[in-house]
Amino acid sequence: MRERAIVIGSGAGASVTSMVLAHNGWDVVVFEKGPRYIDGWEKAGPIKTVFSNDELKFDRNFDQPDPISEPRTFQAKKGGDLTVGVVNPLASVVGGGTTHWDAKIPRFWNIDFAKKSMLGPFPGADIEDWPFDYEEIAPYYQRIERLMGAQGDQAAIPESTLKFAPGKRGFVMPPGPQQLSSLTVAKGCHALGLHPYPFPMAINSQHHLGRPACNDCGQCSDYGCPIGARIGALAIMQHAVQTGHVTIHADTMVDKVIHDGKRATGVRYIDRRGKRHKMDAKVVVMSCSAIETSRLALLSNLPNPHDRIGRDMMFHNFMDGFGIFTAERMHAYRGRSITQCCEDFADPDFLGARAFAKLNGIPYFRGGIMEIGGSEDVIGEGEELQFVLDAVGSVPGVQPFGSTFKTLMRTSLLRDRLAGIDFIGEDLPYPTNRVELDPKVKDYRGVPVPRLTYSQGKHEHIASLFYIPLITALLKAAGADAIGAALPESIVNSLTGANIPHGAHVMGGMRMGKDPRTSATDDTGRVHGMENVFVADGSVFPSSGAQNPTNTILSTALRNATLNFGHGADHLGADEGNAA
Amino acid sequence: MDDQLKPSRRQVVGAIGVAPLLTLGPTVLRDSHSHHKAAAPEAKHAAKKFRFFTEHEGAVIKAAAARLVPGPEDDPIEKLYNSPGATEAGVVYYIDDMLSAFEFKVPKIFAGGPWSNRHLGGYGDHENYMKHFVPLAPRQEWAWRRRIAGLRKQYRSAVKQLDAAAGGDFSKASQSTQDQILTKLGDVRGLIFTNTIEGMYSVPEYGGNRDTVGWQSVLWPGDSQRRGYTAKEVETSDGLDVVVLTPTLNAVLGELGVVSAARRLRRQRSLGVNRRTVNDAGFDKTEHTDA
Repeated sequence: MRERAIVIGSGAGASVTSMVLAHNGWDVVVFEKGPRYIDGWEKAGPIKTVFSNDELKFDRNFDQPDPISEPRTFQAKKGGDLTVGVVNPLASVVGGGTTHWDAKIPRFWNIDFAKKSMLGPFPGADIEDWPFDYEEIAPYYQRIERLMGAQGDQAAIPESTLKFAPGKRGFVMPPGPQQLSSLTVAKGCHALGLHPYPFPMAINSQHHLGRPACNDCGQCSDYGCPIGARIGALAIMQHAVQTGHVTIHADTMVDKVIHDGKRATGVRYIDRRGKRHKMDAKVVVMSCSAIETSRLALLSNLPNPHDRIGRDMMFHNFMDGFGIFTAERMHAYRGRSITQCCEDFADPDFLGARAFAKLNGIPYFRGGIMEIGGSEDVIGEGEELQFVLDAVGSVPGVQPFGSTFKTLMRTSLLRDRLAGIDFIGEDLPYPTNRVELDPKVKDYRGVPVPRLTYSQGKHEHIASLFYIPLITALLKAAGADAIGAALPESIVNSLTGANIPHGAHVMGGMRMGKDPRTSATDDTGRVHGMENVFVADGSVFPSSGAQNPTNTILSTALRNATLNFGHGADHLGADEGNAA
Repeated sequence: MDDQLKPSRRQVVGAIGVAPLLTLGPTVLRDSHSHHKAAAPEAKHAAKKFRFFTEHEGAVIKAAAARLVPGPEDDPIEKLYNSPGATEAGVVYYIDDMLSAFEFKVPKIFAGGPWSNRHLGGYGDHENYMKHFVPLAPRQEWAWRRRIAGLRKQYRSAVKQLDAAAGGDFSKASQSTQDQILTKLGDVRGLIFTNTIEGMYSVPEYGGNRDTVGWQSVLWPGDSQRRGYTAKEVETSDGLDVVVLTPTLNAVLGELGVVSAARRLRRQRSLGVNRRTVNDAGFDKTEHTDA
C-alpha cells in the first residue's frame, strides 16, 4: 500500500519532486491553484493547448494571477508607501512558470555554490555557501537538461564560461536558427572581446519525443507554446504521471499545511467553488515558487524560531539596454525569443571590476548573463509609445497621439528596429528584503496576500554603474544608431514611481543551510524543525546566481528529492538513450 | 512541420498581406498600402449594433479613437499613406465587446488556441481555434467582473466629460476642437488610447483589428502559427529600410531615458488598463480587502 505525498504547485520543483516520489513508491497528489491549459503532455506525442500567439490574452493575465483577485503588495522599505497590485508574478497554471518562459537553461557557476568561501562576505548581506558544490550538482544538471530536451552547442560554450561551469551539458539537439537581432548584438560583443554563444534552451530544434520542432513563430517569452515545441517541466511531470500514481488537481489552492509543530499530517485546500477541505499525507512538499511558498509557510505557522522564513528574497539585478537601428529592421518578432547569451559580465574578475569595487569601498561585485537581441511586441510598443508621448508631449509641435503615434508605430523604432539586452545581474541576499503576510489585503478567497519589502543594495548599484557604459559600448559596436542603456535606479524611480522588481526570477525566502539560525530549510530543503515538510523551488536558494534560475531550481530539486526519497528515478535522464 | 505542408513564401504573403514587409522605405510602402483592402470604406460594417454603448456613446468613443489613431479620412498624412486607423479597424466595437464580455456565452476575455489558421490558405485543418473563447477559472471571473464594472463606469464618465468639454456632442465637434479636448483631458485620453491600441493590434477575434488592418498598418504579419518563420527569415536582414528622421522621431530619440522608463513599466507589467490595481480600475479598495 503506497503512502500519500502531497506536492503543492505543479511547476519546475514540483515536477521533479513528483517524479522522484512516484518512482520511489509514493502516491502523489499535486495541487495547482491555477487552471490547466495544455492537454496530452502525459505521454510522448503531440499536445493540445489553448495557448496561442495572442499578445492581448497575456496582457489580460491569462496565465498569471490577476492583480484584482490575487494582488500582492510592495514597499521599498519597511513602513514605506504600499503598492497593491502586480508584484513580479509567475504563471500559475499546470506546469507553472515553465509554461510561459522562453526556456533558457544556462547553469549557475561554481562561485555561486561556494559564495562565502570563494568570494567572501559582503557587508549587510547574508553570504553563505550552498550545502553542495558545483561538482555535486553537475550530474543532476546533465540529467535535467536531457529530460527537458535541451538544444545547445557544447563546442560553442566559451572557455570563459567553462572555467566556472565545467563539463558536458545534456544537450540532445543542436541550436535552432539564430535571430538577426541576437547575431547583430553578438557582433558588438565580439568587438569588445566578449564571448557570446547560442543560448542553451529547453525548446525542440528537432522533432523530439513525438513533439515538433520549433517553427520560430516568435511569440515565446511570456507566451505558452502553441505547438508543444516547448512544454517546460511538464516534460518531467510526464515521467511522474506515467507511473499511474500521480493525481493533479487544478484550480485548487492549498492555504495551510496542517501540523503539530514537528510533523505535518496533511493540508487544507480550497476547491474551485471556494469550499475548504482537508487531505491527509505522510509527506508535504511546498513548490509554489519563492514568494508563494514563503506565504504558505507563514500562513501555516511553520516553526520559525529564528525569523528566517521569507527573508533574503532575491530577484536579479535586471537592467535593460537597447539599440535602435535606423537603416534596417531587426525583426526580433521572428525566432525563439533571444537566441544568444553572453556571460562575461558574471565574472567578478572581469577587467576592471575588482578595481572599481575597491574604489567604491566594496569587496567585489558581479554583473550577470546577458540575453542579447530581444525586442517588444506590437501592443507593447503601442503602450510604450503612449507613455513616451505623454512624457514628451510638451515639445512644441509634437501631439501626443494621432498621426504622430502612427508614424512612430510605422517606423517602429521601439520594436522592429530595436535589439535589446537583458542584463541579469546577481542580486545579493539582504535579510531586510523579505516576504511577510500583508496585515490587511486579502485575495478573493479571503487569504492574506504576500507583502514584499525590497530594495537593491550597494552591490547591485555599483554593478549597474560599472556595466551600463559597457552595455552602451557594445551596442555601439553592434552598429546601433541610438542607444538606451538602463538608467541608475534612482532615475528610474523618479520616472516610474515604485521600483517593483520584475523579470520573473524569484528566489530566496526558505534558504537552505545547516544552521537553523541562518536558514529556513536544511541542507536537503526540509523545513528546519519539521520531520516531513519539504521545499522544492527557488525559495531554497542561498544566493541568486547570475544566470536564469530554472535549470538550477530543477537540478537542486532533483538532488534534494533523491537524497530525501530515494534512487528509484535515477535511471531517468541518466543517458541520452533514456531521455530520447 | 512537414515540408509538403509548408506554404511558399509567396502564398503566405498573399494570404496575410504583408507585402510592405518586403519593401524598401516609405515611397514603396505608400504604393503598396494604397491597394490593399485595408482602407475600404467602413460602410459594409455599418449595420453592427452596440451591446453596451448607446448610439451616442458609441459615436463619441468612435470619434475619440479616430483622433487618437487616425485613418485616411481623419488625417492628411494617413490619407497619403492610405493607412487604416481606429475606425477602419473597428476599435469602438472592440471596446464595446470588452465592456460586454459577460454577455457572451463564454465571456469574451481570452481568445482560444492554439492558432487561428488565418495564414494557412490550405494545409492542415482550417479551424480558427481562436474563435472559441476559453472559459474563465473562478479567480479570473471574479477579477474580470469587477474590472469590467469599473471600466463601464469610467467609459460612461469619459463620454460625459468629452461632451461637456465640447459644449454638447463631442462627436460633432470639429477635428481641431476634438484634438484640443483630448490633449487637455489626460485621464480620459489615457483610458481610450490604451484600449484603442489594444483594439488596433490584438488578434481580430476580440472584435477590433478588422481584417487585420491594424497589423498591416504597422507592417506586422500578426500571429504566425502554424507557419512560423523559415531559418532564413529569422537569421537574415530583409534589406535596407532607412528611416527618414523627422522632428517627431528625433524628439523620441532624444528622450531615451523616458523610453527606458516605458520599457521598464511594461516589463513590470504596470502599463495598460488590464494590469492596473483595483483602486485604479475605479472602485473602492475596501470592497476588495473585505472580500
